[in-house]
Amino acid sequence: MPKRVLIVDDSPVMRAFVRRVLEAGGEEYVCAGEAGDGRAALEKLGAETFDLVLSDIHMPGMDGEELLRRVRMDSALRAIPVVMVSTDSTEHRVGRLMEMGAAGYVRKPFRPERLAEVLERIFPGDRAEEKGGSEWI
Amino acid sequence: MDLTNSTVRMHCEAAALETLETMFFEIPEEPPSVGPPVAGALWVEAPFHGSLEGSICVASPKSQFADLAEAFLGWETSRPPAKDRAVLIACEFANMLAGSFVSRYRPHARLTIEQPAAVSAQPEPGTDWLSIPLADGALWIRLRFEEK
Repeated sequence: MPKRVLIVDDSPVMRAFVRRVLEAGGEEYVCAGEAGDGRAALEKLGAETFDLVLSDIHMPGMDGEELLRRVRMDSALRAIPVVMVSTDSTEHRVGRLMEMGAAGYVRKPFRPERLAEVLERIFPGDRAEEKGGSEWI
Repeated sequence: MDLTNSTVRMHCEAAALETLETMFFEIPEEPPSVGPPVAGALWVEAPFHGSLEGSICVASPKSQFADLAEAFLGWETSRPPAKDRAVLIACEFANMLAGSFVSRYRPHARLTIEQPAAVSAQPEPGTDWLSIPLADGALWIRLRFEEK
């Protein structure tokens, strides 16, 4: 079963790009939902099942940091990995997000391979299972 | 923090090339030059503040942004590009360009990038525009800032 991904970004262009990158990567991931800010993302997370959240940081309304904090505090959601995708790459900011429980960080602009690398670290076992062997383990 | 003209220009060029190559799959075949944008170009500005106060401007004909949109999103260019799509692409390019540029001054500088927006006036002429040649056109970038 492909991983269901929620893409959170106030830019429809960026959401479309991330969706395209995910779809180009094969059937491992599917963009199952999009949201323009943290509040809309929480509504979707409460209504549907997702395996992964890819979120921008700077968004009007609820930003990505607050979204991450709320997901981590919610017992029903905290198991969902949240990867931050942003142009904001200050060590201070990235360090704080990782301490808060972000599963990864991707600085924009990024190559599709960079996103794939981060996702592979989060879901390392799935490829081994799909390949039916231990070559990835 | 090295803010000499040559270093700033080097970082600006590197940021532009990184953004074009990694997200728009466009690799300029010729080196950047200096010169003002063409008349009628769409112009967007991404302000930043913090250790430096300034902005990065990006200008190009709307059709050029439509071409980038095709590379970026697979959007069709066979029909006239919707104005808002060109602006969205231009703003996203400016955002990523600013992010890439600013990251080259970290950790020495702490900078926040504001949401880019279209500028209604025509691009100002002058020699501080960097011209990036693309396969079918060009993209112009202007960086202005002052140290706080």
